[in-house]
Amino acid sequence: MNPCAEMQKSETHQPTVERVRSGQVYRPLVDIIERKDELLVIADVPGATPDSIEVNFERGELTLCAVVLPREREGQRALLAEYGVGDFCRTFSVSEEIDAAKITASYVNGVLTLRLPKKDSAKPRKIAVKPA
Amino acid sequence: MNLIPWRNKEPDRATQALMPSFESFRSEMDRLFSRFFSEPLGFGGAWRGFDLAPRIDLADTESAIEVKVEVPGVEPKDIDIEVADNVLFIRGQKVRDREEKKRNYYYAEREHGSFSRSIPLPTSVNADKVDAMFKDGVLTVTLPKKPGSAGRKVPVRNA
Repeated sequence: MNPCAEMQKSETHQPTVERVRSGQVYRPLVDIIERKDELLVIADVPGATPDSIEVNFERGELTLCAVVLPREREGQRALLAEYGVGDFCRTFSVSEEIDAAKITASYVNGVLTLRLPKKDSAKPRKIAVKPA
Repeated sequence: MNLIPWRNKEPDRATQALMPSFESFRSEMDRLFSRFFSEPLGFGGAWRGFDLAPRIDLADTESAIEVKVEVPGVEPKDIDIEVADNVLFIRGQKVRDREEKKRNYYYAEREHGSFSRSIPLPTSVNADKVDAMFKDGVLTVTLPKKPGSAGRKVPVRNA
């Protein structure tokens, strides 16, 4: 991975099935964190809006896609265009231990946060030892 | 006791065998160093001496210069914008949630830390009327041009 990853976007290498719009697709940078009772997926998707983001969980695959409107260049002369503007899309394989019905998503300041709660059976459990 | 300067000695077999790997080690190091110095912004985030440089978009409209920066995850209050001598400075910080530090990371691609960028502006701007807006992780700074800075046609006199 490019060490200057922060503000750069990489083009997605995933096949874009069912894609009807033209333009570039980028792979959002993510953090994935495991907590005791949930998985947290945090993705940078600048320029998207809450309505434009689609999150799907199907057969153990989590897909997040966001539509980002292209630059408006009407009446403008571009002097620098260091970053590309386009949609975001990325897919992850997630273990079966996720309770798909309880996945929640929030979007603040260009960052999408998904909470994937673990199924009860996958949560760590402490077993009390009873004195005999 | 050996009185012959060492560099006059023919390298023995074992040293000769090592030579090529030393050579590749050296070029490897050279590459590492040149990468280190040419990409001071990177270094996987381990190098904290430098700020990150966000990528920008600079556009010229009839009445203003528009600068856009993608800085997802930054709070508007953590962004500092300054215009001086026709240079726009953007500084800020992307703070990692303190609670996150102890957690178990599978992926940690998103960078955190301070970022800064100074952007020389192509024309004079009205520094008092600069407007900055942050929406969905994209910062847009609009810098109205000073009247009369649009450029003047200079007629060439006949001597």
